[in-house]
Amino acid sequence: MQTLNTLQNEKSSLLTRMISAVGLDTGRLKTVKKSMSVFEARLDDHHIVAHRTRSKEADTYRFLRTQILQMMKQNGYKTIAISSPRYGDGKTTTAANLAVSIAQDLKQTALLVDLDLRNPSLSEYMDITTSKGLTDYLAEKATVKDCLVRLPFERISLFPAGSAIDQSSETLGSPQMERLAAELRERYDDRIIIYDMPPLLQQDDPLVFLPHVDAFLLVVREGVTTVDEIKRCLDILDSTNVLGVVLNNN
Amino acid sequence: MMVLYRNLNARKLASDMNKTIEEGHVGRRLVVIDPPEMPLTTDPSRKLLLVASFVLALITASGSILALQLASQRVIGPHHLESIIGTAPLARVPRLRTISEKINYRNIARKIFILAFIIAILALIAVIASMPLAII
Repeated sequence: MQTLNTLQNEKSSLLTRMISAVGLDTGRLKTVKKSMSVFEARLDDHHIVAHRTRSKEADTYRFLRTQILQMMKQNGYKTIAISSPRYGDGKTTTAANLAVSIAQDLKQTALLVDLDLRNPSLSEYMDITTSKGLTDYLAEKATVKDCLVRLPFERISLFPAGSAIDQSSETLGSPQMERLAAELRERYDDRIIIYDMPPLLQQDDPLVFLPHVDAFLLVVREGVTTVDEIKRCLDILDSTNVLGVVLNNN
Repeated sequence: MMVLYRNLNARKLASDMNKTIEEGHVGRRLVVIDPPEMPLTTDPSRKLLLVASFVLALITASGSILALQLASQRVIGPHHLESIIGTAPLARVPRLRTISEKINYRNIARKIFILAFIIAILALIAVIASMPLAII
């Protein structure tokens, strides 16, 4: 009986070793999951990975950050808008990860602004519950200081959208919004401002707000975005400084 | 005497019949000159056929993927994107999975691996069991 048990143990350990050898062991992942804080778990749920150290995904965002910072520095840009042809292409994930990655750089601070006023989601992505946001500021119910939220990461703040509104393009084209864009740009000299915009082909909001941004980053989704959609987006962005395109496989 | 006559008469009739058959079917005699043999080789050789079929399968599969890619209007790969926008993408973000998704993915892959392992063991046992006892 003892021999049979020993044999079974040897078999199981051989199989376990084989499973581990082909990279299918879940032990380390379970340990990582248990050691996560609630905030980290929420970030993980929304694919915010740029703060991680030994991570291929975080390295991709670091690579993107470095290229963007270099181009912005060369041209003296301080604000960048991020959008995609349609919802679900990964624009908000890219915006959040890029902001977190920029904030990891000790020389930079980042401000993430949620301009998707119909479907605001950055507060949820960053696990923040806020009572004030952009729509409150524009309705003169709050000041900029009231709306800015410091995230648990260093050197990064969030300007949430507030409550969702339907007349988003009219709001973004208002004189108050123009003043806000100028104020955010001038308030801190070393701050990179990242605007998470609505999709280019689904709403006219980006068109209204594009004159207030220095540069643009287009996110397309591999296997989903069509050639025609990309061409239409590039036509829309003809008079904008497009820094480049991110191919998102998420 | 009568019996002898009948025997001789029967043999003569048979002989006449054979003569008539032989005179009518002279060219139809079948003689096997070169008996059939089981072929031992093929032309082209089996190895060549195997390699050619493997290569053709690869070419067909790659061609199908290429044809689908050309027919599809969706962006597939950084080179395709580069051909549209005229410059390489700044980054290609890989598929992002949460820790829970990674654990689920590995659990499924592990089950498939174990199943394949068991099937391989059973197949090996079946092969050994079906072998003749005396193999020299």
